[in-house]
Amino acid sequence: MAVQPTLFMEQTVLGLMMGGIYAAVGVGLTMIFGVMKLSNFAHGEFYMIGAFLTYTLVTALGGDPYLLAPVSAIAVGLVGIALNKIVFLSLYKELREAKGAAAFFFQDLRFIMLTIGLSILFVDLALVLWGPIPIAIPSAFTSYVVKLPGGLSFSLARIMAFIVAMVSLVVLYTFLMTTKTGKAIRATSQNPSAAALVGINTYKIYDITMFISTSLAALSGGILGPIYNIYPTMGLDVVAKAFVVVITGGMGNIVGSMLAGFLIGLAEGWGGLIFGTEYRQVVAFLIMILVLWFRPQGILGGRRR
Amino acid sequence: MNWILCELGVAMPVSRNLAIGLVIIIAVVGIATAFLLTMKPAGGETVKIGLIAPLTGSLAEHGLDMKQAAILAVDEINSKGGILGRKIELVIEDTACKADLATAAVQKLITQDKVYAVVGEYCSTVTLAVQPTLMENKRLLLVPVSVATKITEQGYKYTARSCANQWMQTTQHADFIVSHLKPKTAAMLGINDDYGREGLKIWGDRVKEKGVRIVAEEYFDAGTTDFTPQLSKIKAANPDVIFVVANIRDAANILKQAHEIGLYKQFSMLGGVTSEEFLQLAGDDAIGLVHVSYFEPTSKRPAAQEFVQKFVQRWNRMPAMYSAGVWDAFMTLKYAVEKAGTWDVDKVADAIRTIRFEGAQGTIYYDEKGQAQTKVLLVQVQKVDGKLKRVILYPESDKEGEYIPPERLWGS
Repeated sequence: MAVQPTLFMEQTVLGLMMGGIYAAVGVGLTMIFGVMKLSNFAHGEFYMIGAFLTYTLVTALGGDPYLLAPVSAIAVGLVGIALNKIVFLSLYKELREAKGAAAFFFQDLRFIMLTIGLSILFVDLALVLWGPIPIAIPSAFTSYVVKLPGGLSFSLARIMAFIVAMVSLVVLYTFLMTTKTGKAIRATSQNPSAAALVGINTYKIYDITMFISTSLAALSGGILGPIYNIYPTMGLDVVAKAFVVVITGGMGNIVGSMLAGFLIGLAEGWGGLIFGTEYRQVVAFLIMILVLWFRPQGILGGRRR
Repeated sequence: MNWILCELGVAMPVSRNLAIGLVIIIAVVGIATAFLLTMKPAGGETVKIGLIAPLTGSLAEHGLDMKQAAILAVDEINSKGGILGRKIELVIEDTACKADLATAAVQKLITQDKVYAVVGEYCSTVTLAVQPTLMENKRLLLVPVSVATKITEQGYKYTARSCANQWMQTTQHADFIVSHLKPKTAAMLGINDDYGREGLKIWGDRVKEKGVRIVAEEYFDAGTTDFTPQLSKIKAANPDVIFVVANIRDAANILKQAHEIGLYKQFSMLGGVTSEEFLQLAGDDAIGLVHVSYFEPTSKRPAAQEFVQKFVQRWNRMPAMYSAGVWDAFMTLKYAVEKAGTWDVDKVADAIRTIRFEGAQGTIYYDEKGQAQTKVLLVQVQKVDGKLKRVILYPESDKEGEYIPPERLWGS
């Protein structure tokens, strides 16, 4: 079937919108990896909890999910800090003593198992708290459909989700590039021992990183809730895609993850048209494999920020 | 262990290993004997029935429908004195719709719980996976909701299914669509597994026989949330009818996203969407949808009304189609054992093929292969008095309203 121009346009726009969300979820994951050297397999669950918390706020307070998603994102971010202090910190300290400040390498099997365990715990917790039945978050924006010439139409909710994701990415980028704390985060990511030597409190940086990462994931969950419905295992579906974004963009590279998010989103849209939609999931992973083949450090890897 | 041996004074260096070995053997034999003595089935006591269902994982909402109906059915049977004077004890096992977990659960049900029969499961692949084990161990398998045609086609004596199978549902659905909606072209969208592939194959073949042209055939993987690539391809193909095989979560997303990209066509779906939760999830996007159902809580038949009333009273929610399937599976067991007059599994399996009773889904009787011959309903989601309702269109005996074409609902 020849690809029609309208179909192509529709997929391009939808792919970019999806890419924005992939970027937001992926950036959170890459920050944890870049700064804390930790693969967080529970990242998808923060996305899920963000969605459910937004739903709970919407039903309890009224109002629109696009106003309340940031509130739930901050709440989840605080949970992230608490988790970092309670669960992760003792392991960091143990590892630092064991390997010395110079070999600041956190990629430990215990961390991997710990985050997988947390992921299972969160899913079951959500199952108990909110039940297994999928829920749709009511929003006034879902029923508004923006019609464009050429038969294209998109719901206002999707556009809102894209805008919120974009704004948060721009804010994060500006924060990392211009503020003192942002620079400290980048310094810690480049060389934690040197950062500690010049007086940066790296444990505090970990708290901040954890906050940014988990709240970005939660925000994405909250703003996608009105478009898709939400259920306890939704995080598992997204975390694999987030890891593809992280690896494709260059592990720990924030700008790389943003680009990779859009790349994967677009490739899925176009790949679906060319190869058939049942191979859409394959396309994302194929891109990752190709990138690893020709550029194992990722598209922007090696230029750590 | 060492200190015990020292106390007993047998811890001589040479015979130490021997002594440890002997103690272990005695302990194991002792525990096993005690275990066997307690496990010995005693007549007149409870009969254990296993329920396997996806209580966790992405299909947990359907598992809940099944679990609640099973508890209700067992309470109902027990409150009336059980079956042949023996009370039923329900043993519920989670499968998460995974064949390996289900196989382990069924092994446990057979060897440890010594169940008489197993009711389950939701996922056809899981039912097919556990079926041989149950058959070899001469345990009844009462299939309440798995629809893969193969389950009963294999001709196992101890298997009986209390709902319409995939072939029955899909062909009756296709016939209705062709004769009532008269489409010239159709598109198909299905989940990329046995259920979706078989559904699209049966439906596609059936409508092609009647002169309908298939203009698009799309699949999506389990766990997909974004269906717009498939939907925009379907939109470009411009079909009269879109046939979808999906679970409720996906189905709601599909309708929502179709309308988002301006695809206002007649959607028609298989039975996966028959529940109140689906209507809540899909909201107004569900209006106009035609789908097949084997149980409707609004049905005026007395047996169905009795079931609905009891279910709502106990669980404070409307029963879904899956609940009705489980209820009828337990009732099948009850009537068959009573008719056989014995718990002998061969005689009960024979009796299943001869019983006829009024179940939640209507009059239920089984063919030689243990497949229930039930009537399938076709319904359309319409807005009645400002509320979404599934209006029964077919068959005539249950009919509640007329089909409304999408042009009249959405404008051209």
